[in-house]
Amino acid sequence: MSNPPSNMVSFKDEAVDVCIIGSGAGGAPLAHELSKAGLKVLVLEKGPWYQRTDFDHDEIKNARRNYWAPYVSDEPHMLKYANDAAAQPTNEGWTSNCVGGGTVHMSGFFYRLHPADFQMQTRYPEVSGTTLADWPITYADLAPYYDRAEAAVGVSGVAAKAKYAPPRAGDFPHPPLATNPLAALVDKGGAKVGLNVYQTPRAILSRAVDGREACVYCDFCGSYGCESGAKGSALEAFVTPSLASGKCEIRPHCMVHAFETRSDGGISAARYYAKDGSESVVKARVFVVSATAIESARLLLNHSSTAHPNGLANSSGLVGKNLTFSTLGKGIGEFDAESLDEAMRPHHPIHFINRSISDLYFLDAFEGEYNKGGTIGFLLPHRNPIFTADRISKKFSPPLWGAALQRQIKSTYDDLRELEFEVYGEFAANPLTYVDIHPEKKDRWGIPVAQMHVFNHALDVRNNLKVVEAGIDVLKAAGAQNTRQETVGGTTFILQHGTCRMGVDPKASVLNADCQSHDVKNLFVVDGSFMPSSGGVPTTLTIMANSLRVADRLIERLKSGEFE
Amino acid sequence: MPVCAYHPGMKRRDFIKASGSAALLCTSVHLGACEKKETPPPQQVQQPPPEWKFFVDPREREVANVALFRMLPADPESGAPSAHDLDVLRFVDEQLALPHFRDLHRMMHGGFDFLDRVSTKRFGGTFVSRTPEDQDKILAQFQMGLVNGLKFPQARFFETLRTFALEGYWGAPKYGGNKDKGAWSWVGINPHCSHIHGTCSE
Repeated sequence: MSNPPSNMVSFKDEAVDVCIIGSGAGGAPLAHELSKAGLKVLVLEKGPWYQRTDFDHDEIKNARRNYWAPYVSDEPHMLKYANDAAAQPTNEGWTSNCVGGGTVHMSGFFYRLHPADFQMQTRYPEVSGTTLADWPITYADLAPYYDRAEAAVGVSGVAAKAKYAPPRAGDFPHPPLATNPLAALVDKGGAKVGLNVYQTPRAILSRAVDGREACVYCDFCGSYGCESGAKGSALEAFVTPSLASGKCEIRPHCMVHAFETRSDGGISAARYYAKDGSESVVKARVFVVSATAIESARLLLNHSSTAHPNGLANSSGLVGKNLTFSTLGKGIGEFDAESLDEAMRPHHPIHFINRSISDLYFLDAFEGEYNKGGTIGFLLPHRNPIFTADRISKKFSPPLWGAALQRQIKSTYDDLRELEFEVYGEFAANPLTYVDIHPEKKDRWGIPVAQMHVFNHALDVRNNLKVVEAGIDVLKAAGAQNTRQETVGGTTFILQHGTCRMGVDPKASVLNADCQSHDVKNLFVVDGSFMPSSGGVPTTLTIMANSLRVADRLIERLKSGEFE
Repeated sequence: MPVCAYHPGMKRRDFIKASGSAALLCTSVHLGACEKKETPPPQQVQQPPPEWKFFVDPREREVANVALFRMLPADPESGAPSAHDLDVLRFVDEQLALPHFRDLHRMMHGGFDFLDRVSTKRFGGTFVSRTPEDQDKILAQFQMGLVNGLKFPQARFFETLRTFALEGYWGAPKYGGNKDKGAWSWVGINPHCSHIHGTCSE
């Protein structure tokens, strides 16, 4: 594991302008912008600092142990579905614990939200069992920051003309990535059933830029770090560039567990445990929490003081509430290799399909009611060999083993092409989905852990089914056989939002439009917690763009002498 | 000077011995002759197999080895190597010795013991001694949790072993299994290599 760069500034015990807790999609862009503006920034990151040379294709390390997220036995989350009798320990709800956060091992599907996502309450004023809300900002407010984030990350794609594709001013910063010939079958299938298929924007460089190579098409994006630097993680796009300012220190292995507050309720210091177990204190003018929607809520809710008896920034009682994820749908189909053109057969060197459909973002079938659907993204199943063998085994019930499994695996590699899709669906905020603190369970530091309460709203499940059915129709029209729905109305835990919802009314939100706490003036939250709604796309780009937006406002205020 | 070179795997004592004698010879004769005639045969120092860490009981080790073999057998039809061919047992042993998997020890020891007990009760002989068909029947019963009267998480034991078997068979060889990348060679992949550049990250 690599060490922090030796030329990085070290603030030691010095007070800084801004202390950021978490270095992922929210924290890193903010650190970059603030330090570039000359402000002293200290980022406390709970996990290690991996660098490109640490990244490889070792599936056991990357996908099956605790390289990215902790073991349940060390740092559990507790999970309770609405109908469960009791919460169970789980590692769901973690994104990667490392410098760069979940973006380091993301797949990098970089869609923008649709303008209507910012006005969910206005669009759907009365949906029983939900707590939908409008954002205090609009798509137009965020659009220039989408442009900036896409440029920094290096998004490759083609400006789509598809139905419900969000408006954009120009082309993507980089041309689209090469794709597997099977992508043509998705195009064909979509055309046959009357759906617009477009190239999925990816946070992966199709051509080299300073210090980062173009994609080498190794096909190991999701669950892996990128050894070429082509993937636009927060590590590559913001952390590494931020060091050049000489104003930004990234401090790995720092588990922030508490805040000290002043008599006026503001934060005076953050307390953290270092790798050796020792406790340290950081003083700053401003504190920014960006540890994921679940962990940020946990950190705030674990606080208790005279000024904040029910948790920090929680006078509304809404810290941890309105938790949303992404509603997951999945489907798959098979093509007999013999029936395909030579180029489409197994072992083609490029694994990207990169095809999307947004036509079902709003469902015509349910026009006039809550009709929020989502986005379909087509892809080939991950090439991880253990995962592949297990997936083939689990096609059968009970899971296959013995010689029969060996033959299935061989024939899958030799004779089949499987094409799958994922649906990124809206997850309506609702009163039954939230984070609180488990009354007994603690992590390896003795800190009470987060408990997730999850309820998939029936209308999300209904709508998700509709989108999954459309995906299956495309596969069938493309000529796939043995098509099947694999997931309907599931939950993508790594996409998480809403637990510090922003809004205009301090009684109905935790943050204002600047992502500043209504209660604690020198506290900001910039991970997905701020989002009042999930949208029907993966939200990493939105979190990055918003962080750049918050940075502009914060720089202005800090330079004007506020928060002294 | 190849004769005097240190070979990986050679113990230091062996190296000193070999290099000392070669150096002596090399001072008195032509190098070519030295290389041709005086070089001791290449010494492949056989490393003793590593100690077993979890499977210290030979009987239990053999039960596990057979169970893994039945889960992932050699298959002439598909050309599959077996779990035994790929040293999957060694992988499982290494993994179960890790601190994180200590919680599994009781169940795993119990599971291998019960495979024997159930086999003996049902077929009149230990698990290892039975036919492959009988062994598969017992494993299938464990998988489905159908062994009557067994107060033991038989299905969870089976699933844990199945998962380890797949990891040891298909994972990176450095963990002890997938010997010589046999599983990857069988299906024509190398996950550690980039298709486009032909470079590998190993």
